[in-house]
Amino acid sequence: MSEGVEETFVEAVQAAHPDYIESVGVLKPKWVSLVAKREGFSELAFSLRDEFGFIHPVSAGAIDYPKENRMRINYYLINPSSRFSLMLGVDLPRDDLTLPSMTRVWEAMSFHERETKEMFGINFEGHPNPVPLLLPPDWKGGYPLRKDFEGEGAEP
Amino acid sequence: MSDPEITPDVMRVSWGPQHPMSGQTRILIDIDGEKVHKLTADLGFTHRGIEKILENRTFLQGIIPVERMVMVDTANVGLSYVLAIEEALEVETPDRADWIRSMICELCRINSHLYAFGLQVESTGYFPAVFLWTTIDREIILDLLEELSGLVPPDLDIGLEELSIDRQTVRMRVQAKSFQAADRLGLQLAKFGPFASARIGAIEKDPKTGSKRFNVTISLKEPEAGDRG
Repeated sequence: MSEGVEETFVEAVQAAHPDYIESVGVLKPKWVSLVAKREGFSELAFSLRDEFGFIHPVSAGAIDYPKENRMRINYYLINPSSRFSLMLGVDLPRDDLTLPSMTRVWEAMSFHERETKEMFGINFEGHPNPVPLLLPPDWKGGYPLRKDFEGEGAEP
Repeated sequence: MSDPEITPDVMRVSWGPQHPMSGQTRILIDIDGEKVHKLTADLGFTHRGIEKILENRTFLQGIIPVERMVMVDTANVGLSYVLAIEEALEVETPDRADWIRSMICELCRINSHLYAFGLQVESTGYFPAVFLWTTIDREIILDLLEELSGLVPPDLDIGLEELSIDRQTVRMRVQAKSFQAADRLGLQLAKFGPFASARIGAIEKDPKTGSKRFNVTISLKEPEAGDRG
């Protein structure tokens, strides 16, 4: 592996989208973490797919930070030709959990966004089929993976 | 999912949620004769919320629920969890541990492949004997894994009822047939070096079955300065 491929990639992304990016960091060799701003998230995603080659969606999920009153939504992507892994994150305030759905960019994110919606209560705008994936259809117990969940079966 | 149009020719068949091959998965199939129009997956029948379970457990306790994810290949799932924790805590493992882990993972991998292969062949409906052949080969691996994890020597003649680990202390609830089992266990524990202390509690007698029960508390030695890694 040649040295500094991560840095080259980081510089290229930052140069292409200086307004949309909050921070970029190299986690490991060929593994980059990118935190985006909420504004222009769709444009950044389209650019990552079309210009930077992240055509393979791996997973998506969220992390709840109740003390900081925010939630981080992470999209995990892979560029199959350069073998780069990308963790594309975006922070949302806990009282306004709305994000444009990434199913327009990566269609396979559909199931992951359905799961994130039912588990964390994040509203993905424009999702073609926003029904619960894993929870029963008549589930009324709230959002199970939030840190303040105290529903059925939650341990104190 | 929005219901597709059901015309008189198209029939909706529910495949699952209980099925001998797929386990707990439900797939709604819209078919017209043998032509499949649409598949709708209905997941969640085996969703156990491992993420939520792990929120209320220590890292060490978390290994056990994580390994329950895969029935026949526990080591590889557990290893990925353990490696993630070790990376977060910046713990380096000795070479010996890496070798043992590799061997267990390979055994589990072969075990799981044999199981999958046997099931796959059996599900064709023509060769049910193949599943029995792979089961015979799996027995060898299962014996090896049992030898590795069955740490209670058979001549101790005790059974564990409960086992809990809290930081540096291991607590066990032990059941035995005779009083002498407590002495034998005490002797065995005294042989092992890494314990700071091992205490055996008062022996109770079960009036119904006549078996003896007692608690064992083992304190692990605190790591000395300069003895890390």
